[in-house]
Amino acid sequence: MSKERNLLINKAKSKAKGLKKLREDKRYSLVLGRLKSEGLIEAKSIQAHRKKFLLSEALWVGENIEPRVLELLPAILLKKPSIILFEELPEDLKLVLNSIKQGRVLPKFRGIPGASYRQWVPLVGKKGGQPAVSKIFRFKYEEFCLLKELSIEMGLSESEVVKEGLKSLKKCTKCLQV
Amino acid sequence: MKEVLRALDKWCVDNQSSLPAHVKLHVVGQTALLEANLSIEVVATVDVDLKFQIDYHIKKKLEELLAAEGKVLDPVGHEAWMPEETEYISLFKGERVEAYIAKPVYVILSKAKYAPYKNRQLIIDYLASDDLNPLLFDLAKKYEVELASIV
Repeated sequence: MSKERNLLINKAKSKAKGLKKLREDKRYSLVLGRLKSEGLIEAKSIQAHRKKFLLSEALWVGENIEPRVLELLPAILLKKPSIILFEELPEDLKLVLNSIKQGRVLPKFRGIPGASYRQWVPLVGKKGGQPAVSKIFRFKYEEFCLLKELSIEMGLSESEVVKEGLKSLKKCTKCLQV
Repeated sequence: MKEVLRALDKWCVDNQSSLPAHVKLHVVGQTALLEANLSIEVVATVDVDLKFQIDYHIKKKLEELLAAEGKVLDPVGHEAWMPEETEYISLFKGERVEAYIAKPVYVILSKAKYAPYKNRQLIIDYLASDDLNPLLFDLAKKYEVELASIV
């Protein structure tokens, strides 16, 4: 084997020793063990358990050892926050969660692309469930009055009226296509 | 994974009149590494990547069986880049279903090329381990992957 390759292998061995030491940190088995018991990861050497972990512990593991933890964190915070002992959310994580909730373009989260962490949202916690998305609309005064009128007549909240209206419109477009 | 494949094979046998005679599944990604029983630590999320598209009905059944095990089929797993010379090892052979896993060296190369940040620890561990296949260096040169910058 060439000198260059041997140097690379030796460098990797040195780094691997450092990684092995990091994995001995109790935060690693704590965070991954809980994720394993939730069925979110597979790792043969990790023992599953039901203990909660601190958000800061998960962030440390994700940034220092296993980025897949960072990939799963937004979905966990939205759909299964009970497994985490809460601390103040860092600003970048707040931005990520708000972007998912508001259906906005997703920023990278500590090197993880938006699509990579977004894919887990329907798969964590209640399967298929997506977080509600907030939207703001401007109505003309007459439209606003119509919304209030329908809300009273139908015995629904204004949000529910809009949702029912969307579903009806969808049915109409399907009928037109047929 | 083998339990899922056994169940899929049985279902294919029971429904053979409406399905292709044989189906071949090529598993890539972290699942392939997990199934290869390497000496290094492999942490995988629960998505399974299949390299090639398969019959729609078989795919639906596979998704159902994987879901029962808490896993999901990556809908774009077939888009994962693998080097053209990728070799596969037999994982399962049933009456109708055959499954293969990509050899680890090709999976590692794929990760080094397209997701080095997420897989840096894995790549370092692989380079440092007895599982290392020296072919990785030739592949890295061919596909312009700078292993040194990852390590």
